[in-house]
Amino acid sequence: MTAEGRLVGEEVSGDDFPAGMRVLAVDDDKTCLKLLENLLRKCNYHVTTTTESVKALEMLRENRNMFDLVISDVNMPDMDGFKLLEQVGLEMDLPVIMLSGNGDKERVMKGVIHGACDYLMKPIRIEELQNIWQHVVRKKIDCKDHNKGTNTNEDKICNMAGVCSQDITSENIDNKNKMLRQKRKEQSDEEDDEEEDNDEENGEEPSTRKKPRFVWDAELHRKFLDAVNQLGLDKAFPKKILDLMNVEGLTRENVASHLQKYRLSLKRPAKQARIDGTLGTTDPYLQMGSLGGYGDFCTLSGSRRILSSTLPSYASSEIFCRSNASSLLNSRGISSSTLVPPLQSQNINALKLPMFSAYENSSFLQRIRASTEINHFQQNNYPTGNMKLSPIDDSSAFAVSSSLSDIIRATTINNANSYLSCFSSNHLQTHNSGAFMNHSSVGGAAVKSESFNPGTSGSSNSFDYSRIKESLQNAAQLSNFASNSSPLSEDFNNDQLSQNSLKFSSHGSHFQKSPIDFSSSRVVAVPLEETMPCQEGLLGNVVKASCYTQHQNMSSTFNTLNSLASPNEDTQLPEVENLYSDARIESNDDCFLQHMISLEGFVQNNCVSLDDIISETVKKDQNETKSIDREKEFDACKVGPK
Amino acid sequence: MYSVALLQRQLVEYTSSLFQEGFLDGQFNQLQLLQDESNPNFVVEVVTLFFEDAERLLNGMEKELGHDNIDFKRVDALVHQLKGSSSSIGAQRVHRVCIAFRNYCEEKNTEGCFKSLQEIKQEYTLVKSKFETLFKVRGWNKSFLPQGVQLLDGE
Repeated sequence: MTAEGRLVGEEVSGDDFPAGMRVLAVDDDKTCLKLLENLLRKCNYHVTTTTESVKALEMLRENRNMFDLVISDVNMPDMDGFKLLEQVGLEMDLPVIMLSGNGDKERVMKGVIHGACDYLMKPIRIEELQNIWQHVVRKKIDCKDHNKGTNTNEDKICNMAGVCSQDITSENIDNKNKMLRQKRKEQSDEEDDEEEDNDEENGEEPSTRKKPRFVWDAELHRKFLDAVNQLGLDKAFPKKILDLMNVEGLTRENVASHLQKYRLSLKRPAKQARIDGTLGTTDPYLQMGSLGGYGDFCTLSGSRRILSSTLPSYASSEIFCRSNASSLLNSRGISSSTLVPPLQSQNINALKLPMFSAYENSSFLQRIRASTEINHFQQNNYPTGNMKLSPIDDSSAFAVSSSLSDIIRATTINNANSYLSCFSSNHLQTHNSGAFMNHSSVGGAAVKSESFNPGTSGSSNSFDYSRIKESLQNAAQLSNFASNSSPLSEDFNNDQLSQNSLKFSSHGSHFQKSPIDFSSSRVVAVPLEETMPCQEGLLGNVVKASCYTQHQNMSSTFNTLNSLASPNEDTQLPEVENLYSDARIESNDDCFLQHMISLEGFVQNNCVSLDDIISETVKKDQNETKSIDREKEFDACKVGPK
Repeated sequence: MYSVALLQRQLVEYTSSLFQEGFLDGQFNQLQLLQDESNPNFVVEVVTLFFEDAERLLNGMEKELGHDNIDFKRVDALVHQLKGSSSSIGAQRVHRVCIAFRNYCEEKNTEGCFKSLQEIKQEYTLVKSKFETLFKVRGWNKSFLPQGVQLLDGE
């Protein structure tokens, strides 16, 4: 009967489809082939069988319309099943189902990549074969859509996404759909709408799972930010942004979705936690979100990722951070976070962004808390109590500080990032100033120590002060920072900064602008530890920065923090120490906190955190005149070679 | 005289014992499903095919393992095939040994391969005789039971 199906050529897609569907079965194993044939017959399909792929191809080539579906075994002596699969897909565009006794993930993946509609495991059961007709239908639909130009699909998706897909032309439908889906998904993620198949999509860049999507790197994001700032957030329309950015290959949709994410992250720092998890990725959006959900972020390993990613980027994107920071500040704390597009290279920015947004609105302490929380995610042992940053008022600075110290502590334990937070939290907790000081040293030390090392994430959470101290001290060694025990004197900043190449300068500016940074930095601090060894320095810096702020203006601390944050090398740690020492001087709980916070933030973002921290502290210390002084120092510190 | 019912019961019991002992698994039921009036000898045909295939494969394995330089990849390919066909008809025990055999091939464990080959041959012989008995008992060879006797087990 095998030939009959072929010769008769009766209508397959007739009324009783799927009955009568013409299937070509290929398998070198006669037993399996016979079984398959009978199973298919049982499903009322027309079956043609052959044990040779070559013959199968011949038959297919003879008359493409002879068959609706091909089922082929994978292991065949004359021709690899995958090759056959490819050929059929290329030449005849028929749906092909793979069969195999081997269900390894790699093989299945290979099948999918080669274009298989489905991958079935031997032994075949009739239930599995009963539904294979769906592939035929699907293929037909896809073809039709492809021809039509899929405007409808796109429109639908666009509408759903809420983005006007004006540019939807008859591009490659697949790409469009992909983009739209991605866009939609992103938007959905933000809004918690139904998600597409990519469940993990939650703010995450599905770079690996899905087909290649447009990636927002640091450079692009910076341009984006520039454009947005230029236009003003309210007047930022995708088309205009696109024009301003003037990037080849960038489409309006890319910009639109990016903008949406950015906006959303600006609006909802609290929800960023969602994205935090993904923060680990280079997804800028995530980073943005991280601010809000910093606490969550911390808990999320993602933060770690982010930190690591951000850290390096921080170093590299020092300038970026700075500019971003400023731009961020301008636009809004949050926006900065939102601006954290997945810039792999500029993770820091990303970090910054989140920090900004997160902190922008909350009190510094709050931020600090957040950071502590974040830190604390890293280390379960973090005194979550402290860590949990909730809106902290100044009075609760102490608490914040404690959380900071916790954070610092935590961070140190795991990573530099956590370190910072731990420090800050610890410091805060134990004592306002004194603690801070201790912490600072500790933190610095801690920072420096493995805690920064992302690899040390395994370290126990039992962060202890001594560790922090050590780290802090280490940090001191890292740079001359330690020497700058004096209140954020310019030297401190300068030296430190230069060494740390902190974006301190940027921070300084941040200070002025908004405290957002601080909080973000705090957050940053947390992740920083995790990821980057650099973080160590950052932490130290952060701590220092926080210390500074305490003593003087937030800005000063930030400066240190910044310097701390930016230190990409381990040498940065010493700065932290300085920071701490400064804090001591100030013995200002709040300052401490702020320092901590900034440290944290710093830690997290290497660069960002500091900025954030500083900005945070700045904000916090709005009242303090010192901040102004600090800032000056900060600026001086900006020297930091990056 | 043996009542037909008794015979039938014995048949059923025999079949289930095969399942219980692991000679057969659910896949065999699938085969039985496919046998109907339009396809009255399906199971026998498929299993016979399996016997032919298996013997060919076993000979091939033996030959490969007899070489000085064993080409484990080739052996593995053969075992893989046997694994596929045995699983398709539900010869569970053979299938299991095939899996172990494949592991040995991957490890290039000559000892293990030889051992597995022996095991497979054993299992194969066993299951073959079981099948033959089953066919006889079930009358698929149409040589045992009188005509018109309806077999109980869902034929």
